[in-house]
Amino acid sequence: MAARSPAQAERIRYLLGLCSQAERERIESEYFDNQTAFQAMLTAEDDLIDAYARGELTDEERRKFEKHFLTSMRGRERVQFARGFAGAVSYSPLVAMRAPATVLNNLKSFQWWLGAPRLAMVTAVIIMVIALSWLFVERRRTWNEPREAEVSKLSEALPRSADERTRDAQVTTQPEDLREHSVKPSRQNRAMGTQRTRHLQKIDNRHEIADGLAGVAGPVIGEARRVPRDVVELPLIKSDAIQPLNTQDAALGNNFERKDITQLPVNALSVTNLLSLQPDVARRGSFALEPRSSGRTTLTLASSVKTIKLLLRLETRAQHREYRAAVETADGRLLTTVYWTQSPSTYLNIVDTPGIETVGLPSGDYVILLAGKEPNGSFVRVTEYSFKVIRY
Amino acid sequence: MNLPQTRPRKKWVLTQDTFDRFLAILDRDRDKAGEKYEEIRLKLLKYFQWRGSGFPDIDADETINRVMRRMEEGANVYNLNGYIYGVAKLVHTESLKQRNRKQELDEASLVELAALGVDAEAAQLQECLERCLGRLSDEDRAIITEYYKYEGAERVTCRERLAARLGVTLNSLRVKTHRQRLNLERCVKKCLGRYE
Repeated sequence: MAARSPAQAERIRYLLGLCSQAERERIESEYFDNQTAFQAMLTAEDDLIDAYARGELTDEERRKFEKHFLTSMRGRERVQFARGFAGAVSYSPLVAMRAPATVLNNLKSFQWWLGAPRLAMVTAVIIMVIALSWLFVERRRTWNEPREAEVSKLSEALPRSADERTRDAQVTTQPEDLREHSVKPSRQNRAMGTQRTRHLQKIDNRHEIADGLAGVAGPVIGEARRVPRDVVELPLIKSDAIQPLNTQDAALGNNFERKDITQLPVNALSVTNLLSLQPDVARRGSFALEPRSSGRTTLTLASSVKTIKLLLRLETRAQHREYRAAVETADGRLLTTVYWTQSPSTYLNIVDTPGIETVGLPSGDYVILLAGKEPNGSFVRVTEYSFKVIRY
Repeated sequence: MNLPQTRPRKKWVLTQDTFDRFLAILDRDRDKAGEKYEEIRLKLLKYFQWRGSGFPDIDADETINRVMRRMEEGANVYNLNGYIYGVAKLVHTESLKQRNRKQELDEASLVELAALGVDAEAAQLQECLERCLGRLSDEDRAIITEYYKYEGAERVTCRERLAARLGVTLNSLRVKTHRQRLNLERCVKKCLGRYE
Protein backbone atom coordinates (compact mmCIF):
# COMPACT_ATOMS: atom_id res chain seq x y z
CA MET A 1 0.00 0.00 0.00
CA ALA A 2 1.37 3.38 -1.03
CA ALA A 3 1.48 5.23 2.32
CA ARG A 4 2.05 8.90 1.96
CA SER A 5 3.84 9.95 5.13
CA PRO A 6 5.75 8.28 7.97
CA ALA A 7 2.79 8.95 10.28
CA GLN A 8 0.37 7.24 7.91
CA ALA A 9 2.77 4.31 7.43
CA GLU A 10 3.01 3.97 11.20
CA ARG A 11 -0.77 3.86 11.54
CA ILE A 12 -1.01 1.16 8.92
CA ARG A 13 1.66 -0.89 10.72
CA TYR A 14 -0.28 -0.49 13.94
CA LEU A 15 -3.51 -1.65 12.35
CA LEU A 16 -1.78 -4.66 10.84
CA GLY A 17 -0.16 -5.53 14.16
CA LEU A 18 3.35 -4.90 12.87
CA CYS A 19 4.40 -2.34 15.46
CA SER A 20 6.71 -2.90 18.39
CA GLN A 21 5.15 -2.67 21.84
CA ALA A 22 6.68 0.75 22.49
CA GLU A 23 5.37 2.13 19.18
CA ARG A 24 1.98 0.61 19.83
CA GLU A 25 1.65 2.16 23.29
CA ARG A 26 2.75 5.54 21.99
CA ILE A 27 0.17 5.48 19.21
CA GLU A 28 -2.54 4.31 21.58
CA SER A 29 -1.75 6.99 24.15
CA GLU A 30 -1.88 9.58 21.42
CA TYR A 31 -5.27 8.62 20.09
CA PHE A 32 -6.79 8.17 23.52
CA ASP A 33 -5.62 11.67 24.37
CA ASN A 34 -6.19 13.50 21.09
CA GLN A 35 -9.39 13.39 19.06
CA THR A 36 -7.61 14.46 15.87
CA ALA A 37 -5.18 11.58 16.18
CA PHE A 38 -8.08 9.21 16.75
CA GLN A 39 -9.86 10.52 13.67
CA ALA A 40 -6.67 9.96 11.67
CA MET A 41 -6.66 6.34 12.87
CA LEU A 42 -10.26 5.87 11.75
CA THR A 43 -9.44 7.26 8.34
CA ALA A 44 -6.35 5.06 8.11
CA GLU A 45 -8.53 2.04 8.88
CA ASP A 46 -10.99 3.00 6.13
CA ASP A 47 -8.12 3.42 3.68
CA LEU A 48 -6.58 0.10 4.69
CA ILE A 49 -9.85 -1.73 4.16
CA ASP A 50 -10.27 -0.03 0.78
CA ALA A 51 -6.71 -0.94 -0.16
CA TYR A 52 -7.40 -4.59 0.66
CA ALA A 53 -10.63 -4.53 -1.33
CA ARG A 54 -8.79 -3.08 -4.34
CA GLY A 55 -5.87 -5.50 -4.10
CA GLU A 56 -3.30 -2.84 -3.26
CA LEU A 57 -1.69 -4.63 -0.30
CA THR A 58 1.50 -6.64 -0.45
CA ASP A 59 1.28 -10.35 0.32
CA GLU A 60 2.45 -9.91 3.89
CA GLU A 61 0.07 -6.99 4.47
CA ARG A 62 -2.78 -8.97 3.02
CA ARG A 63 -2.09 -11.93 5.31
CA LYS A 64 -1.90 -9.67 8.33
CA PHE A 65 -5.03 -7.85 7.30
CA GLU A 66 -6.99 -11.06 6.89
CA LYS A 67 -5.80 -12.26 10.28
CA HIS A 68 -6.78 -9.04 12.03
CA PHE A 69 -9.91 -8.03 10.17
CA LEU A 70 -11.53 -11.04 8.63
CA THR A 71 -11.71 -13.06 11.83
CA SER A 72 -14.52 -10.92 13.17
CA MET A 73 -18.00 -10.49 11.79
CA ARG A 74 -17.65 -6.73 11.92
CA GLY A 75 -14.40 -6.82 9.93
CA ARG A 76 -15.93 -9.11 7.32
CA GLU A 77 -18.91 -6.81 6.94
CA ARG A 78 -16.63 -3.82 6.45
CA VAL A 79 -14.59 -5.59 3.80
CA GLN A 80 -17.75 -6.71 2.04
CA PHE A 81 -19.00 -3.14 2.02
CA ALA A 82 -15.63 -1.81 0.84
CA ARG A 83 -15.62 -4.15 -2.15
CA GLY A 84 -19.04 -3.02 -3.25
CA PHE A 85 -18.29 0.60 -2.50
CA ALA A 86 -15.02 0.55 -4.47
CA GLY A 87 -16.91 -0.63 -7.50
CA ALA A 88 -19.56 2.01 -7.03
CA VAL A 89 -17.23 5.02 -6.78
CA SER A 90 -14.40 4.10 -9.13
CA TYR A 91 -13.91 2.53 -12.52
CA SER A 92 -11.13 0.24 -11.38
CA PRO A 93 -11.69 -3.49 -11.44
CA LEU A 94 -12.30 -5.06 -8.05
CA VAL A 95 -10.14 -7.79 -6.58
CA ALA A 96 -11.36 -10.97 -8.27
CA MET A 97 -12.17 -13.22 -5.36
CA ARG A 98 -14.01 -16.14 -6.87
CA ALA A 99 -16.99 -13.93 -7.67
CA PRO A 100 -19.41 -15.59 -10.07
CA ALA A 101 -19.69 -14.14 -13.60
CA THR A 102 -23.21 -12.81 -13.08
CA VAL A 103 -22.06 -10.71 -10.14
CA LEU A 104 -19.20 -9.25 -12.17
CA ASN A 105 -21.65 -8.37 -14.93
CA ASN A 106 -23.88 -6.64 -12.42
CA LEU A 107 -20.92 -4.72 -11.09
CA LYS A 108 -19.92 -3.62 -14.58
CA SER A 109 -23.45 -2.53 -15.42
CA PHE A 110 -23.60 -0.59 -12.17
CA GLN A 111 -20.34 1.17 -13.07
CA TRP A 112 -21.70 1.95 -16.54
CA TRP A 113 -24.87 3.35 -15.00
CA LEU A 114 -22.83 5.70 -12.83
CA GLY A 115 -20.72 6.77 -15.84
CA ALA A 116 -23.74 7.31 -18.12
CA PRO A 117 -24.44 10.91 -17.09
CA ARG A 118 -20.86 11.88 -17.93
CA LEU A 119 -21.09 10.12 -21.29
CA ALA A 120 -24.38 11.81 -22.04
CA MET A 121 -22.85 15.21 -21.29
CA VAL A 122 -19.91 14.60 -23.60
CA THR A 123 -22.25 13.41 -26.34
CA ALA A 124 -24.42 16.48 -25.89
CA VAL A 125 -21.39 18.77 -26.20
CA ILE A 126 -20.26 17.02 -29.41
CA ILE A 127 -23.75 17.28 -30.91
CA MET A 128 -23.87 20.97 -30.01
CA VAL A 129 -20.51 21.64 -31.67
CA ILE A 130 -21.61 19.84 -34.83
CA ALA A 131 -24.90 21.73 -34.87
CA LEU A 132 -23.20 25.10 -34.41
CA SER A 133 -20.72 24.33 -37.17
CA TRP A 134 -23.52 23.38 -39.53
CA LEU A 135 -25.44 26.54 -38.66
CA PHE A 136 -22.34 28.64 -39.31
CA VAL A 137 -21.74 27.06 -42.69
CA GLU A 138 -25.39 27.40 -43.65
CA ARG A 139 -25.43 31.04 -42.63
CA ARG A 140 -22.42 31.83 -44.75
CA ARG A 141 -23.95 30.06 -47.68
CA THR A 142 -27.29 31.88 -47.42
CA TRP A 143 -25.47 35.17 -46.88
CA ASN A 144 -23.40 34.77 -50.00
CA GLU A 145 -26.18 33.52 -52.31
CA PRO A 146 -28.15 36.81 -52.48
CA ARG A 147 -24.98 38.74 -53.11
CA GLU A 148 -24.09 36.38 -55.93
CA ALA A 149 -27.54 36.91 -57.38
CA GLU A 150 -27.11 40.69 -57.11
CA VAL A 151 -23.79 40.49 -58.87
CA SER A 152 -25.33 38.70 -61.82
CA LYS A 153 -28.33 41.09 -61.89
CA LEU A 154 -26.17 44.17 -61.95
CA SER A 155 -23.92 42.68 -64.52
CA GLU A 156 -26.91 42.09 -66.73
CA ALA A 157 -28.32 45.56 -66.11
CA LEU A 158 -25.22 47.51 -67.13
CA PRO A 159 -23.99 47.80 -70.70
CA ARG A 160 -21.10 45.48 -71.27
CA SER A 161 -18.88 44.49 -74.02
CA ALA A 162 -18.96 40.99 -75.37
CA ASP A 163 -15.62 40.27 -73.76
CA GLU A 164 -16.87 41.39 -70.41
CA ARG A 165 -19.94 39.23 -70.77
CA THR A 166 -17.73 36.28 -71.41
CA ARG A 167 -15.53 37.10 -68.49
CA ASP A 168 -18.61 37.51 -66.34
CA ALA A 169 -19.79 34.07 -67.24
CA GLN A 170 -16.42 32.69 -66.30
CA VAL A 171 -16.33 34.64 -63.08
CA THR A 172 -19.88 33.85 -61.95
CA THR A 173 -19.35 30.18 -62.49
CA GLN A 174 -16.14 30.28 -60.56
CA PRO A 175 -17.42 30.71 -57.02
CA GLU A 176 -18.76 27.15 -57.08
CA ASP A 177 -15.49 25.96 -58.50
CA LEU A 178 -13.61 27.85 -55.86
CA ARG A 179 -15.79 26.41 -53.15
CA GLU A 180 -15.35 22.91 -54.49
CA HIS A 181 -11.62 23.36 -54.50
CA SER A 182 -11.53 25.39 -51.35
CA VAL A 183 -9.44 22.87 -49.47
CA LYS A 184 -6.52 23.18 -51.84
CA PRO A 185 -7.01 26.13 -54.19
CA SER A 186 -5.09 25.57 -57.37
CA ARG A 187 -3.08 28.27 -59.10
CA GLN A 188 -5.79 28.48 -61.74
CA ASN A 189 -8.53 29.07 -59.19
CA ARG A 190 -6.47 31.66 -57.38
CA ALA A 191 -5.97 33.47 -60.65
CA MET A 192 -9.70 33.26 -61.34
CA GLY A 193 -10.39 34.64 -57.89
CA THR A 194 -8.11 37.61 -58.53
CA GLN A 195 -9.75 38.17 -61.89
CA ARG A 196 -13.17 38.14 -60.27
CA THR A 197 -12.17 40.72 -57.68
CA ARG A 198 -10.90 43.06 -60.37
CA HIS A 199 -14.09 42.56 -62.36
CA LEU A 200 -16.26 43.29 -59.33
CA GLN A 201 -14.35 46.50 -58.73
CA LYS A 202 -15.08 47.50 -62.32
CA ILE A 203 -18.77 46.87 -61.71
CA ASP A 204 -18.58 49.05 -58.58
CA ASN A 205 -17.02 51.86 -60.52
CA ARG A 206 -19.71 51.62 -63.19
CA HIS A 207 -22.39 51.67 -60.52
CA GLU A 208 -21.00 54.83 -58.95
CA ILE A 209 -20.85 56.52 -62.32
CA ALA A 210 -24.47 55.54 -62.96
CA ASP A 211 -25.40 57.05 -59.61
CA GLY A 212 -23.59 60.26 -60.44
CA LEU A 213 -25.24 60.51 -63.82
CA ALA A 214 -28.68 59.83 -62.38
CA GLY A 215 -28.20 62.54 -59.72
CA VAL A 216 -29.37 62.28 -56.17
CA ALA A 217 -33.05 62.44 -56.90
CA GLY A 218 -35.16 60.82 -54.29
CA PRO A 219 -34.06 58.21 -51.85
CA VAL A 220 -31.84 55.45 -53.00
CA ILE A 221 -32.32 52.89 -50.40
CA GLY A 222 -31.49 49.29 -50.23
CA GLU A 223 -29.02 48.84 -53.03
CA ALA A 224 -26.20 46.67 -51.92
CA ARG A 225 -22.90 48.14 -52.85
CA ARG A 226 -20.36 45.92 -54.34
CA VAL A 227 -17.68 45.17 -51.81
CA PRO A 228 -15.02 42.50 -51.40
CA ARG A 229 -16.48 39.19 -50.35
CA ASP A 230 -15.47 39.24 -46.74
CA VAL A 231 -16.65 42.77 -45.94
CA VAL A 232 -20.22 43.46 -44.97
CA GLU A 233 -21.49 46.92 -45.74
CA LEU A 234 -24.82 48.25 -44.72
CA PRO A 235 -27.07 49.81 -47.39
CA LEU A 236 -26.45 53.46 -48.04
CA ILE A 237 -29.46 55.58 -47.21
CA LYS A 238 -29.90 58.87 -48.93
CA SER A 239 -33.04 60.77 -48.13
CA ASP A 240 -34.33 64.31 -48.15
CA ALA A 241 -35.74 63.64 -44.70
CA ILE A 242 -32.27 63.29 -43.13
CA GLN A 243 -30.99 66.37 -41.39
CA PRO A 244 -27.83 67.81 -42.91
CA LEU A 245 -24.66 67.57 -40.83
CA ASN A 246 -23.95 70.46 -38.54
CA THR A 247 -20.48 71.47 -39.46
CA GLN A 248 -20.63 74.88 -37.78
CA ASP A 249 -21.53 74.35 -34.15
CA ALA A 250 -19.25 72.12 -32.04
CA ALA A 251 -21.76 71.98 -29.13
CA LEU A 252 -23.21 68.66 -30.15
CA GLY A 253 -24.59 65.72 -28.25
CA ASN A 254 -26.33 65.53 -24.88
CA ASN A 255 -26.52 68.42 -22.58
CA PHE A 256 -24.82 67.58 -19.34
CA GLU A 257 -26.44 68.60 -16.14
CA ARG A 258 -24.15 69.69 -13.42
CA LYS A 259 -24.73 67.29 -10.58
CA ASP A 260 -22.32 66.27 -7.85
CA ILE A 261 -22.00 62.56 -7.24
CA THR A 262 -23.13 62.01 -3.68
CA GLN A 263 -23.53 58.26 -3.69
CA LEU A 264 -21.93 55.30 -5.36
CA PRO A 265 -24.21 53.25 -7.60
CA VAL A 266 -24.20 50.46 -5.06
CA ASN A 267 -27.67 49.13 -5.84
CA ALA A 268 -27.79 47.38 -2.51
CA LEU A 269 -24.36 45.80 -3.02
CA SER A 270 -21.73 45.79 -0.32
CA VAL A 271 -19.53 48.86 -0.45
CA THR A 272 -16.67 46.98 1.14
CA ASN A 273 -16.94 44.38 -1.56
CA LEU A 274 -17.03 47.02 -4.27
CA LEU A 275 -14.04 48.87 -2.92
CA SER A 276 -12.01 45.85 -2.05
CA LEU A 277 -9.13 45.29 -4.38
CA GLN A 278 -8.23 41.97 -2.89
CA PRO A 279 -7.99 39.34 -5.60
CA ASP A 280 -8.75 36.58 -3.15
CA VAL A 281 -12.15 37.56 -1.82
CA ALA A 282 -12.80 34.48 0.15
CA ARG A 283 -15.23 32.05 -1.24
CA ARG A 284 -12.63 29.44 -0.42
CA GLY A 285 -10.47 29.45 2.71
CA SER A 286 -6.77 29.42 1.89
CA PHE A 287 -4.58 32.48 2.15
CA ALA A 288 -0.89 33.09 1.83
CA LEU A 289 0.79 35.29 4.41
CA GLU A 290 4.19 36.94 4.14
CA PRO A 291 6.42 37.56 7.16
CA ARG A 292 5.70 40.75 9.09
CA SER A 293 8.82 42.38 7.73
CA SER A 294 7.31 42.21 4.24
CA GLY A 295 4.15 44.03 5.19
CA ARG A 296 0.58 43.28 6.19
CA THR A 297 -1.86 41.16 4.22
CA THR A 298 -5.56 41.89 4.12
CA LEU A 299 -7.95 38.95 4.18
CA THR A 300 -11.47 39.68 3.04
CA LEU A 301 -13.72 36.96 4.41
CA ALA A 302 -17.29 36.23 3.47
CA SER A 303 -19.52 35.39 6.41
CA SER A 304 -20.04 31.96 4.87
CA VAL A 305 -16.36 31.08 5.32
CA LYS A 306 -16.18 29.15 8.59
CA THR A 307 -12.54 28.13 8.58
CA ILE A 308 -9.44 29.38 6.87
CA LYS A 309 -6.16 27.75 6.18
CA LEU A 310 -3.05 29.90 6.12
CA LEU A 311 0.01 29.27 3.98
CA LEU A 312 2.82 30.90 5.92
CA ARG A 313 5.86 31.82 3.90
CA LEU A 314 9.08 31.44 5.86
CA GLU A 315 12.14 33.60 5.53
CA THR A 316 14.27 30.48 5.20
CA ARG A 317 13.68 26.85 4.42
CA ALA A 318 11.44 24.99 6.90
CA GLN A 319 13.61 23.63 9.71
CA HIS A 320 11.03 21.94 11.89
CA ARG A 321 8.61 19.08 11.62
CA GLU A 322 6.05 20.32 14.13
CA TYR A 323 4.76 23.84 14.49
CA ARG A 324 2.65 26.00 16.73
CA ALA A 325 0.83 29.13 15.59
CA ALA A 326 -0.59 31.52 18.14
CA VAL A 327 -3.18 33.92 16.75
CA GLU A 328 -3.35 37.20 18.70
CA THR A 329 -5.11 40.50 18.34
CA ALA A 330 -2.95 43.50 17.53
CA ASP A 331 -2.93 44.45 21.23
CA GLY A 332 -1.56 41.05 22.25
CA ARG A 333 -4.69 39.18 23.33
CA LEU A 334 -4.38 35.47 22.53
CA LEU A 335 -7.30 34.13 20.52
CA THR A 336 -6.32 30.61 19.61
CA THR A 337 -3.32 28.32 19.25
CA VAL A 338 -3.02 25.58 16.68
CA TYR A 339 -0.49 22.78 16.55
CA TRP A 340 0.31 20.60 13.62
CA THR A 341 2.86 18.32 12.05
CA GLN A 342 4.06 19.68 8.74
CA SER A 343 3.72 17.25 5.87
CA PRO A 344 6.52 17.12 3.32
CA SER A 345 5.80 19.76 0.74
CA THR A 346 7.05 20.78 -2.64
CA TYR A 347 7.45 24.30 -1.28
CA LEU A 348 10.31 24.14 1.20
CA ASN A 349 9.72 27.59 2.62
CA ILE A 350 5.98 27.42 3.19
CA VAL A 351 4.14 25.82 6.07
CA ASP A 352 0.41 25.40 6.02
CA THR A 353 -1.69 25.60 9.12
CA PRO A 354 -4.66 23.41 9.87
CA GLY A 355 -8.06 25.07 9.62
CA ILE A 356 -8.58 28.05 11.90
CA GLU A 357 -12.14 28.87 12.91
CA THR A 358 -13.16 32.30 11.69
CA VAL A 359 -15.89 32.82 14.29
CA GLY A 360 -13.24 34.34 16.54
CA LEU A 361 -11.91 36.62 13.81
CA PRO A 362 -14.11 39.68 13.40
CA SER A 363 -12.82 42.57 11.31
CA GLY A 364 -9.60 43.87 12.76
CA ASP A 365 -5.85 43.51 12.96
CA TYR A 366 -4.13 40.30 13.99
CA VAL A 367 -0.74 38.79 14.50
CA ILE A 368 0.41 35.19 14.14
CA LEU A 369 3.41 34.02 16.13
CA LEU A 370 4.86 30.95 14.47
CA ALA A 371 7.07 28.64 16.51
CA GLY A 372 8.79 25.38 15.63
CA LYS A 373 9.24 22.39 17.91
CA GLU A 374 12.79 21.48 18.74
CA PRO A 375 13.94 17.86 19.34
CA ASN A 376 13.92 18.51 23.09
CA GLY A 377 10.22 19.34 22.90
CA SER A 378 10.46 23.09 23.39
CA PHE A 379 9.12 25.59 20.87
CA VAL A 380 11.30 28.29 19.37
CA ARG A 381 10.17 31.39 17.58
CA VAL A 382 10.30 31.15 13.78
CA THR A 383 8.66 34.32 12.53
CA GLU A 384 5.64 36.61 12.87
CA TYR A 385 2.86 37.53 10.50
CA SER A 386 0.61 40.53 10.52
CA PHE A 387 -2.75 40.55 8.78
CA LYS A 388 -5.99 42.45 8.66
CA VAL A 389 -9.41 40.81 8.44
CA ILE A 390 -12.37 42.43 6.72
CA ARG A 391 -15.63 40.53 7.22
CA TYR A 392 -18.67 41.07 5.06
CA MET B 1 -15.31 -25.45 65.70
CA ASN B 2 -16.32 -22.20 64.25
CA LEU B 3 -14.79 -21.31 60.98
CA PRO B 4 -14.03 -17.66 60.45
CA GLN B 5 -16.91 -16.10 58.64
CA THR B 6 -16.13 -14.52 55.35
CA ARG B 7 -18.62 -12.32 53.68
CA PRO B 8 -19.11 -13.04 50.00
CA ARG B 9 -17.58 -10.31 47.87
CA LYS B 10 -20.31 -7.94 46.79
CA LYS B 11 -20.44 -7.68 43.03
CA TRP B 12 -20.31 -4.08 41.86
CA VAL B 13 -23.33 -2.94 39.93
CA LEU B 14 -23.56 0.17 37.87
CA THR B 15 -26.27 2.49 39.13
CA GLN B 16 -27.87 5.56 37.62
CA ASP B 17 -26.20 7.72 40.27
CA THR B 18 -22.77 6.40 39.39
CA PHE B 19 -23.39 6.96 35.71
CA ASP B 20 -24.69 10.50 36.31
CA ARG B 21 -21.65 11.33 38.44
CA PHE B 22 -19.37 10.06 35.71
CA LEU B 23 -21.14 12.19 33.11
CA ALA B 24 -20.85 15.19 35.41
CA ILE B 25 -17.09 14.66 35.56
CA LEU B 26 -16.93 14.57 31.77
CA ASP B 27 -18.81 17.85 31.37
CA ARG B 28 -21.23 20.08 33.27
CA ASP B 29 -23.52 20.13 30.27
CA ARG B 30 -25.24 16.76 30.18
CA ASP B 31 -25.56 16.76 26.38
CA LYS B 32 -21.88 17.48 25.91
CA ALA B 33 -21.05 14.94 28.55
CA GLY B 34 -23.06 12.40 26.60
CA GLU B 35 -21.08 13.18 23.45
CA LYS B 36 -17.81 12.78 25.33
CA TYR B 37 -19.00 9.50 26.76
CA GLU B 38 -19.74 8.26 23.24
CA GLU B 39 -16.29 9.39 22.08
CA ILE B 40 -14.66 7.47 24.91
CA ARG B 41 -16.70 4.38 24.20
CA LEU B 42 -15.88 4.50 20.49
CA LYS B 43 -12.17 4.84 21.24
CA LEU B 44 -12.34 1.82 23.52
CA LEU B 45 -14.32 -0.15 20.98
CA LYS B 46 -11.77 0.60 18.28
CA TYR B 47 -8.87 -0.09 20.62
CA PHE B 48 -10.19 -3.57 21.37
CA GLN B 49 -11.02 -4.23 17.73
CA TRP B 50 -7.55 -3.17 16.63
CA ARG B 51 -5.98 -5.25 19.36
CA GLY B 52 -7.87 -8.29 18.13
CA SER B 53 -10.34 -8.71 20.96
CA GLY B 54 -13.02 -11.33 20.35
CA PHE B 55 -15.68 -9.22 22.06
CA PRO B 56 -14.74 -5.58 21.73
CA ASP B 57 -18.18 -4.34 22.87
CA ILE B 58 -18.02 -6.29 26.08
CA ASP B 59 -14.42 -5.32 26.76
CA ALA B 60 -15.20 -1.63 26.13
CA ASP B 61 -18.15 -1.69 28.53
CA GLU B 62 -16.10 -3.57 31.12
CA THR B 63 -13.39 -0.90 30.90
CA ILE B 64 -15.83 1.95 31.41
CA ASN B 65 -17.49 0.10 34.30
CA ARG B 66 -14.15 -0.38 36.05
CA VAL B 67 -13.24 3.28 35.57
CA MET B 68 -16.57 4.41 37.01
CA ARG B 69 -16.22 2.00 39.92
CA ARG B 70 -12.73 3.18 40.78
CA MET B 71 -13.83 6.80 40.65
CA GLU B 72 -16.80 6.01 42.87
CA GLU B 73 -14.45 4.36 45.33
CA GLY B 74 -12.53 7.60 45.54
CA ALA B 75 -9.63 7.17 43.16
CA ASN B 76 -8.02 10.49 42.18
CA VAL B 77 -7.92 10.59 38.43
CA TYR B 78 -5.92 13.49 37.05
CA ASN B 79 -5.71 12.38 33.44
CA LEU B 80 -8.96 10.64 32.59
CA ASN B 81 -7.96 9.60 29.06
CA GLY B 82 -4.68 8.16 30.26
CA TYR B 83 -6.44 6.36 33.12
CA ILE B 84 -9.01 4.87 30.77
CA TYR B 85 -6.24 3.68 28.47
CA GLY B 86 -4.46 2.04 31.37
CA VAL B 87 -7.59 0.17 32.44
CA ALA B 88 -8.22 -0.84 28.83
CA LYS B 89 -4.77 -2.42 28.62
CA LEU B 90 -5.51 -4.40 31.74
CA VAL B 91 -8.86 -5.59 30.46
CA HIS B 92 -7.27 -6.57 27.18
CA THR B 93 -4.56 -8.60 28.91
CA GLU B 94 -7.15 -10.45 30.97
CA SER B 95 -9.27 -11.01 27.90
CA LEU B 96 -6.29 -12.48 26.04
CA LYS B 97 -5.61 -14.90 28.87
CA GLN B 98 -9.18 -16.09 28.84
CA ARG B 99 -9.12 -16.51 25.09
CA ASN B 100 -5.94 -18.55 25.21
CA ARG B 101 -7.56 -20.97 27.57
CA LYS B 102 -10.24 -21.68 24.99
CA GLN B 103 -9.67 -23.59 21.77
CA GLU B 104 -7.86 -21.46 19.17
CA LEU B 105 -10.02 -20.51 16.26
CA ASP B 106 -9.06 -21.78 12.88
CA GLU B 107 -8.23 -18.43 11.29
CA ALA B 108 -7.80 -19.85 7.84
CA SER B 109 -11.28 -21.30 7.87
CA LEU B 110 -12.67 -17.99 9.03
CA VAL B 111 -11.05 -16.22 6.11
CA GLU B 112 -12.45 -18.85 3.77
CA LEU B 113 -15.86 -18.34 5.28
CA ALA B 114 -15.51 -14.62 4.81
CA ALA B 115 -14.81 -15.01 1.09
CA LEU B 116 -17.78 -17.32 0.61
CA GLY B 117 -19.97 -14.88 2.42
CA VAL B 118 -18.88 -12.08 0.13
CA ASP B 119 -19.67 -14.04 -3.03
CA ALA B 120 -23.10 -15.01 -1.91
CA GLU B 121 -24.27 -11.54 -0.93
CA ALA B 122 -22.50 -9.39 -3.53
CA ALA B 123 -25.51 -8.95 -5.78
CA GLN B 124 -27.75 -8.00 -2.88
CA LEU B 125 -25.09 -5.69 -1.54
CA GLN B 126 -24.93 -3.82 -4.83
CA GLU B 127 -28.65 -3.30 -4.78
CA CYS B 128 -28.57 -2.10 -1.20
CA LEU B 129 -25.62 0.16 -1.91
CA GLU B 130 -27.45 1.75 -4.83
CA ARG B 131 -30.44 2.34 -2.62
CA CYS B 132 -28.41 3.80 0.24
CA LEU B 133 -26.33 6.03 -2.02
CA GLY B 134 -29.55 7.27 -3.53
CA ARG B 135 -30.68 8.48 -0.14
CA LEU B 136 -27.77 10.88 0.15
CA SER B 137 -28.11 14.42 -1.12
CA ASP B 138 -26.51 15.08 -4.51
CA GLU B 139 -23.76 17.09 -2.87
CA ASP B 140 -22.95 14.47 -0.24
CA ARG B 141 -22.99 11.70 -2.79
CA ALA B 142 -20.63 13.65 -5.06
CA ILE B 143 -18.27 14.40 -2.18
CA ILE B 144 -18.10 10.85 -0.87
CA THR B 145 -17.66 9.47 -4.38
CA GLU B 146 -14.87 11.89 -5.14
CA TYR B 147 -13.19 11.20 -1.78
CA TYR B 148 -13.04 7.42 -2.15
CA LYS B 149 -12.63 7.24 -5.91
CA TYR B 150 -8.88 7.36 -6.31
CA GLU B 151 -6.22 4.80 -5.54
CA GLY B 152 -2.65 4.73 -4.32
CA ALA B 153 -0.60 7.90 -4.13
CA GLU B 154 -3.16 9.81 -6.21
CA ARG B 155 -5.69 9.39 -3.43
CA VAL B 156 -4.10 11.79 -0.96
CA THR B 157 -3.42 14.54 -3.50
CA CYS B 158 -6.97 14.40 -4.79
CA ARG B 159 -8.39 14.51 -1.27
CA GLU B 160 -6.35 17.60 -0.48
CA ARG B 161 -7.63 19.20 -3.67
CA LEU B 162 -11.19 18.28 -2.78
CA ALA B 163 -10.82 19.81 0.67
CA ALA B 164 -9.37 23.00 -0.81
CA ARG B 165 -12.21 23.18 -3.31
CA LEU B 166 -14.80 22.78 -0.57
CA GLY B 167 -13.03 25.34 1.59
CA VAL B 168 -12.55 22.97 4.52
CA THR B 169 -9.55 21.42 6.18
CA LEU B 170 -8.52 17.92 5.20
CA ASN B 171 -9.29 16.75 8.72
CA SER B 172 -12.84 18.12 8.57
CA LEU B 173 -13.34 16.37 5.26
CA ARG B 174 -12.02 13.11 6.74
CA VAL B 175 -14.41 13.36 9.66
CA LYS B 176 -17.39 14.08 7.43
CA THR B 177 -16.68 11.35 4.90
CA HIS B 178 -15.89 8.81 7.59
CA ARG B 179 -19.25 9.48 9.25
CA GLN B 180 -21.06 9.25 5.96
CA ARG B 181 -19.31 6.00 5.18
CA LEU B 182 -20.36 4.60 8.55
CA ASN B 183 -23.93 5.69 7.87
CA LEU B 184 -23.77 3.99 4.49
CA GLU B 185 -22.42 0.82 6.09
CA ARG B 186 -25.26 0.83 8.62
CA CYS B 187 -27.79 1.47 5.88
CA VAL B 188 -26.43 -1.38 3.75
CA LYS B 189 -26.35 -3.73 6.74
CA LYS B 190 -29.95 -2.90 7.56
CA CYS B 191 -30.92 -3.38 3.95
CA LEU B 192 -29.10 -6.71 3.74
CA GLY B 193 -30.84 -7.78 6.92
CA ARG B 194 -34.13 -7.62 5.05
CA TYR B 195 -32.88 -10.28 2.64
CA GLU B 196 -32.14 -12.75 5.41
